[in-house]
Amino acid sequence: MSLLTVDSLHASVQGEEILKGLNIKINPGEVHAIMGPNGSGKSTLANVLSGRPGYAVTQGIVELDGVDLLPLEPHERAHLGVFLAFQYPVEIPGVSNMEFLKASVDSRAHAHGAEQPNPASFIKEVRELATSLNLSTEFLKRGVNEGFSGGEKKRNEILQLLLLNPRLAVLDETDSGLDIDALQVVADGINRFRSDDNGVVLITHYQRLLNYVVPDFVHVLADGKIVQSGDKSLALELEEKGYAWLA
Amino acid sequence: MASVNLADIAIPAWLNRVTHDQLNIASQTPAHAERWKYTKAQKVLDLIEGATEQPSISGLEQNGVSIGTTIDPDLAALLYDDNAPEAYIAACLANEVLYIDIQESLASPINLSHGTSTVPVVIRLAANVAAELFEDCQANEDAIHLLWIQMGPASSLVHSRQSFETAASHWQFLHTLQERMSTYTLHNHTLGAHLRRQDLHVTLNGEGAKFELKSAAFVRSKDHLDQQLTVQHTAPRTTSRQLLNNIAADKASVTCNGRIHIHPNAPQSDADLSNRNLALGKSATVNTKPELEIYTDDVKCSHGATVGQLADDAIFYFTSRGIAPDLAQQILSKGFLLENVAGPNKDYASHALSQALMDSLTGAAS
Repeated sequence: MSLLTVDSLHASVQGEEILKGLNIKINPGEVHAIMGPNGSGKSTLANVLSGRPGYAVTQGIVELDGVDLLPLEPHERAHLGVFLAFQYPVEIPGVSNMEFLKASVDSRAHAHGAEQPNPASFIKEVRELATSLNLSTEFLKRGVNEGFSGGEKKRNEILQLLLLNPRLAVLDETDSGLDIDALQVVADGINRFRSDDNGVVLITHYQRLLNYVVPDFVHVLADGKIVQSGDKSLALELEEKGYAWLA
Repeated sequence: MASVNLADIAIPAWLNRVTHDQLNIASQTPAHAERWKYTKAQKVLDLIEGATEQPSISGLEQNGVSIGTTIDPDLAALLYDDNAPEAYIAACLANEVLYIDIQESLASPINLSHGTSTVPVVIRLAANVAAELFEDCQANEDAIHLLWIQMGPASSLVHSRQSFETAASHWQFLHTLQERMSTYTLHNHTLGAHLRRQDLHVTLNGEGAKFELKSAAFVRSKDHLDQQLTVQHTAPRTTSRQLLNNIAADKASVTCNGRIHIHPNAPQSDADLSNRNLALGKSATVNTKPELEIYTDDVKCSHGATVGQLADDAIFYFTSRGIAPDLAQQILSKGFLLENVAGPNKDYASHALSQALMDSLTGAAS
């Protein structure tokens, strides 16, 4: 069975149809890069998969491990294993990163009928993850993403990805705004996450991330549909020729 | 105010510098009516006629502290304020005034606890004195608490005030007069009450004086909180920073009027006021009005007031991590409230405010 099945997906935002019959299948262990020009529907796909309010699915099927995601609330999808790394992570003063991470992990444990992690071992795990991503442990005490640089916010998304270890990671332009060093750290994090048990949807504008995270498939999204699919060489071709030749 | 018979007030000789006519005029101005728009003045006036007792105090046994029940007649001018004639009336009606004179920097804080209506308190800090004041308004009956603070040149005071008793009506009046280079920091942590009225007047009366306010309030049920703030910059290069985060839940009512007045002789003053309000539910009422009166050109002055509900993108960020929407609301509301909780009493205040908020959001409140 596929890990993720998206079939004939149509979705609208504020009455305007953005996704117009999108199909994609992801098997466990696969990384699928989704590229495409601005306005093609890449972020809409990410938001629809994670259940963001305001995105109306008008037609189609979205299943994770055979379970219909569409009737489910965002937190219920997260419990099944959907994770969205935000293009613009939200700043939340007053709530510490550590409290946010603990609430996330505890909520997942509760949903699965598991015990909440021991606080001491939890803190140790988070600190080790932060250090491995070149994030100071001081960040854990500060408000969620509060005053973080763009690169720090993206590394914080990867920290959450590694901590929650989801079934499906949807990374929405996680490489945007990163310098080459930060890009390397983020890419290393994604590669650490990759396994035969999970899948990755890697939404990106640029080929350069794919030098570090080698995808199994590359899809081009244009006007709400996948218009071309291939292997990693397709990304190189896009880098060279742009998107116009696909129209 | 019209129902108060000022002629009946026996003004002590040492306070008798203001005529009844002046009081009557002050209490009938449009500005005064505006200040009492959201709280019925008569409710407070009824309170000021009640009996008062000495507050419970500790920290007076230190070197450099002396107390008395009379004050220098020269301080009478401090007690009179055109903007708050009712406070002056209350001072006149009280049989005594508790006067705390601080002549040396203090090693330990002064703790002032109000278990009932208390006599007016005047605290005076001498020049270069550093002190800490902890004030607990815990009267479980209707009560008034009046406090005047006079700060000498280059003195500093960190004042933490907590008001967590909800089952009564409280009027809290506070006026701080700051001289040159003094620094006053107020941490105001409060719950609403049947009626809670907080009047705060700060006069930056000497060059380089600084005032900082951080305030966090949670008001639930049918409770009421009315904060009236007036900061006057009357000297050059004075600075004020005011941050107030208020949450109104259920059918509560919250008002915050923040007035900044920069006088003509106060160039290069720098004032900022931010009042953010979170309305939880559809039946809460929030009134907020920042007011600026600026009579000199060379100043920096800014204000902002917002009323809203929790941001959708913040809730989605939480739910996308598996946190259920009701828990997300609890954590985000708590974060909003505790953002402004600071000072020496931070831990206790954080716990008290969080507990009240969680009880309300989880339905545990009565």
